[in-house]
Amino acid sequence: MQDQNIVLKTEGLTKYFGKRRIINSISLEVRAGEIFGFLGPNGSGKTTTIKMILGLLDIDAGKVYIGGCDREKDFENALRQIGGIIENPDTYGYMSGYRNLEYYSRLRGKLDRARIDEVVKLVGLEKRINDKVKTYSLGMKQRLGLAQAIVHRPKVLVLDEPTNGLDPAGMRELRDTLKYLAESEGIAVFVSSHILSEMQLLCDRVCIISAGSVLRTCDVSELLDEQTHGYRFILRPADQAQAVVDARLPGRLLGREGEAFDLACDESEVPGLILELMQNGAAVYGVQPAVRTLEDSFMEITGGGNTIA
Amino acid sequence: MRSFGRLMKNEFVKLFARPTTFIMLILIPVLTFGLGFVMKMGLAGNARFAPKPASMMQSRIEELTEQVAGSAETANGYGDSITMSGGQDPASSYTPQQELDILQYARSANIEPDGWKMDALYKTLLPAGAKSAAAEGSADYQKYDRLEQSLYAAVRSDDSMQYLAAWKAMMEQAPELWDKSQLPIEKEILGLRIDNKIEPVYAGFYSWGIDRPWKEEALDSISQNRYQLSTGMGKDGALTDTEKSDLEKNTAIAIHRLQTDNAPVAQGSMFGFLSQASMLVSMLSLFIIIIGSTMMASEYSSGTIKLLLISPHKRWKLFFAKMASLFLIGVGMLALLFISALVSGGVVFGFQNVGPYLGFSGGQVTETPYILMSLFRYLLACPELLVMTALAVMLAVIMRRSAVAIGVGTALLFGGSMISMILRLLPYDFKRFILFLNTDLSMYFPQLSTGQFGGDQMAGPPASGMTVQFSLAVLAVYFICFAYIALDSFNRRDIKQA
Repeated sequence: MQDQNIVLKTEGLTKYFGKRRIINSISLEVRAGEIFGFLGPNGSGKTTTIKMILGLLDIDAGKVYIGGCDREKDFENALRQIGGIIENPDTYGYMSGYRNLEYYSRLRGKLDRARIDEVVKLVGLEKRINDKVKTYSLGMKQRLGLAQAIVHRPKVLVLDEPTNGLDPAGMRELRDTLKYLAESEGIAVFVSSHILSEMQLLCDRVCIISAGSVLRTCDVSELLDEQTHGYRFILRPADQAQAVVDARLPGRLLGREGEAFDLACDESEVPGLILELMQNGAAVYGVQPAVRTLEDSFMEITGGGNTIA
Repeated sequence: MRSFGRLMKNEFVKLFARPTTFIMLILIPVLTFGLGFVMKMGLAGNARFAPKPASMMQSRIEELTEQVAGSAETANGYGDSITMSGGQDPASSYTPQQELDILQYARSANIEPDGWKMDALYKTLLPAGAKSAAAEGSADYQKYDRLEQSLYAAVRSDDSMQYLAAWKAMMEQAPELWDKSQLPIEKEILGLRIDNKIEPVYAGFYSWGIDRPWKEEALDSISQNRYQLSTGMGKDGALTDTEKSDLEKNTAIAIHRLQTDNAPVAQGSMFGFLSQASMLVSMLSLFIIIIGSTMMASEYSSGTIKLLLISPHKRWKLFFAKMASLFLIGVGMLALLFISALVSGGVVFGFQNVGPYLGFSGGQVTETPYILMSLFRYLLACPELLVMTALAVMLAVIMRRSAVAIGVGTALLFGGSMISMILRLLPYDFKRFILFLNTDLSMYFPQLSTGQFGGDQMAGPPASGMTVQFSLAVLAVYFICFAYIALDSFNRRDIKQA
């Protein structure tokens, strides 16, 4: 029996394109109230997987469970619990924002005007909600898209590249809204994106895919912590510094980028290291804590660059 | 099924949020009014340019004058365009001079060229002709003279019924003036005239642009029907059983009309226009294609189809909700067309009620309020609308682009109709299965159109053996095919691009 907490689950999702397997047995679980990031380079199959979860593309093998319901066997109940935005928000431009929300509310169950008002307030569109959607800016359309996706109180919210076209303020607003939704309404948010800095700030857990296969699924903090604590030393001349490090500080080198040497050490060891390096001909021009970003982990895990599936 | 209702409501909300829908709806009354005015002008034009009875009489006088001046021999003086409402009998032949005489008398007495008096005058030519063939002073001669005088007396008395009585007397006393085979029929017709007080007209000076009074037409058609029934021969050879029963039916109906003074619906009247305007129904097919494409294809092109497909409804429900809504709009437009045609007809031709529609069942003439029959005629378009709905949806789902779907749909509609019209004339048997030859179900009900008393030649079904049931079956098959293809395509397609 399912853990009641798991609101979205896929088992072995697979898809073929002719003879080629483009999605390779993807399994994941998303819990209530959690923000789950789905990351991968361009062409890795993120959008395809999302469309498969939502039923817009055929699944060749595997299962999808939404809110505990098997999407194949219990289609209507499964889809009642999910809401989504796929790339661009899909709304009817010739109708007002409010009419659109009425439409979607009716589409997914009964028309619930109280909820519509609630949702409008949440996304901050009260002033323009009665205007035709074609007069909205992209940011407003995004907000309306989000409103439409949650108007029926789904358990899962699926967003494919939601930050497309948003300015930093817009991205921040979206981030805050999603966090709010996850916390207050207990909605599980499944986000795919390749704006890693945003994902780092937003997600609780991530799944990294490449070329249709899952590479890693874990907590974000785990990934970020995986950096071993260390410091970054800017040393010149670089080659000579390399030799010094190899000779004098074996095992400490975590990585090197040109003149920047990441060395494993605690804060207290820093002055000692500086002395060691200076005395051996590697001049120290800068020292700072080496913090790994999600991007670093990501690049490492996916092997860097654009691997097109 | 409550969710189905919600889906349909959603479709209607979308439909009525678009200006396209309203444009179509407004077009309908605009077109009916336009059609009304055009028809009125056409009919008025006809009447204006047709030769008047007075001028026709004038031409006849001139013609006769020439004849009299040119040749002195007695000839069977039957003019080209004159039909006598008495018979033609070789025993009674009159000269051009005699005809000229009565016309000049008519002119001097200010007798209307198309009235009953003119008919009476022409009737005098029967005994007059016979008189000149009889020996002067014989009993026959006196008889013919008396009969001739009685007719003149009737003319002078201004009493048309007196004319009819004199005519009847002439039939009884001088039956030899009529064709033997025609005489019983003539007697029946005259009897109907007398019973129903129908004043005759003189048809000889009516031209193509002016209609004879409907009662004359009725009597004429009764007379022709009786004749055909008596000889057993019709236009295309021996009468079939259906033709015989049709003739009997039409005759009974015509007699009933005369007895109840129930004029048939004329073209230039409110109900006449209502019938004619039903041709606009084919325009509705075009509207359905346009609206249907917009409904369906625009969802694909704008991407909103994605959200529809991830809603908690099976695809077939979404599909049929759209189809049902489209069909309902079609029916709504049909109702709107009916009402606008009725109102336009009233505004242009005057709001006049009309007598009941006469049908025939179980050997009796039946009466139905005419408006119901008009309504029925429009309702006959519903199967066609249903098939067009399926066609429109199929095109939209397959093409996924409104413009292409509309283009292809329009091309199919017009191209299809034209090809069908050509095929109709060709003797291929398979033509009975062509869609467009089965869409106009009113062709099985020619009595609903305003021909006067017979049907229309063009109105019959294009191939033999076609019946209402056959056409309905054909339409059903097309509907199922279109709907199946559309639904299959709707179900299967992956939504690859946004």
